[in-house]
Amino acid sequence: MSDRKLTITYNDRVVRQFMLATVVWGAVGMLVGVLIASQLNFWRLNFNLPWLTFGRLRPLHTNAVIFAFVGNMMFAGVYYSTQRLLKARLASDFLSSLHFWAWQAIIVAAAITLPLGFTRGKEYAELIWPINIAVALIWVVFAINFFWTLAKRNEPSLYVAIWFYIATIITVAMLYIVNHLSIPTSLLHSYPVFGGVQDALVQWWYGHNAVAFFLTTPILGIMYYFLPKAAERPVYSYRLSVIHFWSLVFVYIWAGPHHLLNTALPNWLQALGMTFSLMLWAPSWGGMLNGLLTLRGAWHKLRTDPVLKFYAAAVTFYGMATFEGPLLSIKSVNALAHYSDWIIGHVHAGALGWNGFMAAGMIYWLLPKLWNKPLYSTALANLHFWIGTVGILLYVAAMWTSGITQGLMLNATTEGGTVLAYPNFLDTLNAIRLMMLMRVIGGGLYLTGFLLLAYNVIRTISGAQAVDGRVDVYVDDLKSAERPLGVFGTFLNPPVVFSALGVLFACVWMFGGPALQIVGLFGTAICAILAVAHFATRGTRWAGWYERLLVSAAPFTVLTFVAVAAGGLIQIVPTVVVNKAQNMEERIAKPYTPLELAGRDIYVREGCYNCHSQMIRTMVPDVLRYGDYSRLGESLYDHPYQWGSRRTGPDLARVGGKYNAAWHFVHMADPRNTSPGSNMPNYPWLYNNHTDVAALYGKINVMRALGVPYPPLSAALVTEEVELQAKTIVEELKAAQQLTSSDREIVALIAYLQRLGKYEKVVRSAAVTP
Amino acid sequence: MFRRLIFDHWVAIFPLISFVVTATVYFAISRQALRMTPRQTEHFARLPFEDNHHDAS
Repeated sequence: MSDRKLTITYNDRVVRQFMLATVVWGAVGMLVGVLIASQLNFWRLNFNLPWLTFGRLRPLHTNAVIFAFVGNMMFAGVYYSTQRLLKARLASDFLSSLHFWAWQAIIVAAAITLPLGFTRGKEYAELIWPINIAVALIWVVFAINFFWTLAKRNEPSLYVAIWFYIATIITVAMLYIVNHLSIPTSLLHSYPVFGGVQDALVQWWYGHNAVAFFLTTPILGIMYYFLPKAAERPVYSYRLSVIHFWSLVFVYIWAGPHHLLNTALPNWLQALGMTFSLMLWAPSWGGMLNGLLTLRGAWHKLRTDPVLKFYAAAVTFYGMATFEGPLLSIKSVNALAHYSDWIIGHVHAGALGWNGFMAAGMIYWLLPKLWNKPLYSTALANLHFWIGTVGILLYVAAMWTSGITQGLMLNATTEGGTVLAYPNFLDTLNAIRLMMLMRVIGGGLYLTGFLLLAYNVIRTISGAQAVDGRVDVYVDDLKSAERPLGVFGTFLNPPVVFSALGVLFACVWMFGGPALQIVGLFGTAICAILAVAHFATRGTRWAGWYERLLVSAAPFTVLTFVAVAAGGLIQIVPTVVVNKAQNMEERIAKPYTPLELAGRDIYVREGCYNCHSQMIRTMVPDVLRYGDYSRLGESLYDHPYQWGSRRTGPDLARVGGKYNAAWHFVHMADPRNTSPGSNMPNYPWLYNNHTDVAALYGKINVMRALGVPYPPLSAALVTEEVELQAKTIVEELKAAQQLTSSDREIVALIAYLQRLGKYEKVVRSAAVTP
Repeated sequence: MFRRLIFDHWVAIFPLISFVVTATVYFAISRQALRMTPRQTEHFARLPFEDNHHDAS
């Protein structure tokens, strides 16, 4: 052993900062959640104010919980455990500090812009493009800080938690950048580069994997570090953790299309999404059991130790949520559950149970260590646990009941399946009122518990002295133990070569013409046979490469990136290539008129997609209720797509022409005028605000750049078209004794709503033959 | 060529391919994991316990 002893002092200041930010933003995010849940019960809580309506606050709630609450918690946990597992101080104090303060600035920017209606109109990806760039840059700062620390580590072995962090950093970067590709029309507005089914697929590739790689993999890394520490015993099975990591990372990325089952999404993608979702059962439960079994011999501590209570419950909720997720991905189950509160319940079992309780356990465990002072009150922490648990159970049970009730009612038919049993949508909404109230109570209890945590934190750290951890390491020993793989070693080895060739031939087989198909099929088969033969005769080379990979951070990162990118590319590339007008069958959208486009932007701004879908599924009850099922071509030019994910109100894909303009005019002023029992907010400002006609010329140019076939239009012509169409609507309203000016936003919104469901028939000869 | 992927109904093969690919990954990784020696797994599992000590900063 070398004599060169080095004492390292960790940067725990940034851990403390992120941890306190978790507490603050967690309380804010949950408070907004309770408010919007209350708005669903009592529509007056929207206060007739644009920045307090459900449609604008719901994105604030989801973004706050995901990126502010869990994000800050994740950074705290990652920075704390990484330093200790690598026996190295974070590489740069400046980058650490920049990471913290810039992330908080981003959160504040989101908290200001979202209620003001500045949004991209895509769930969990609502933030406007300047903030998107800031997020991407700060994520890069995080990555540099992390990988730099990895490079100067004093422990050659990479514990499995570090693997999870690596997968998180690279995958989130990839997902975030691709799903936020946009072309700006102004400083505060942009259109996504993807449209229609492309946008839907990319969105849920991102959305699902935001759950996977933002809310799950980093928290699993945290679980693998903090749970053994709290239980004071090593992880139950390190072997199982290895299997857990690779299978989870490999499988998760493919499951996104399960958010689009029974829609116009091509069948092969739906089948792929469903199959991979079902296969997620295995790694998820492997990880869950590994976590729970780590508590072997320590169960008695749960009686008194709130940290272990939180961890045990969190891992149990992880197991519940990851059982429920694949279940909901079965197409027939999804037909009942999709667009209903069941999905909301599922999400909250994960967010409140898994993320929230992991955060609480971590905070209670870290507090005494980071401030060198015992927790102010263990009894309060235990009370938090029980209040929180009861809150989650109330919430989730209410949402299950609500979702199944409404789903069954919406899908119920009579007369041999030809007539809807509950044709009035509001009957199904009013049937779940009690459950919606229970949800508020459950959420309120959970928030109360979290406020107890905040109180406990304040009392613990008040008057306490912050401390930074230290460790002694022996540098020379560790450096000589490293055997880096290098570039050639990373790629030119049997596992990588055979995998790459196999994927290449499989792609040729799937996407090639008749001759190439045969080449691809034989190539894939030969590749598989050669790989098996090579493995059988030279298996030690495969194993040797794998073992060196595990101590080589850069090659490990590159290959993990390749593994996660493959799933996305195979799903997205064919859809992006094929989603063009000449490939559409039956029906195709017409570009929106300038006034309709302005109305659509208002629809997106108000967050209507949070409650209304625009996708009639290929199911009899959907068709009976909303009209003919939606075709791919009908949303071809929708940037962003508006298929939605929840139907608090009815689907609007074919609402155009269903009612007259006056109906919409009266409805938007107070939905209860036309729909007694509705819980939709009033939109009085639409009758006063002026339509932003001046911006339309630039917006249409961006749309044209995105491939929407607008004819050449001058700014004057755009204004002329807007005035002409608005005048027609105003005249129609006037005939029904509803008076307004043609320059008001309500007129543009009516133009858009009346347009929904209108399409052109595709002339057969125009279609490209296969 | 892509058109076939979007509109044709030959999707039954995808679950099969998915299963085979994933099963291969599972088995390959499981094999690697099971080949780890007890000394290796003990070393990795003990990493979080190579403890630090806290001093006032």
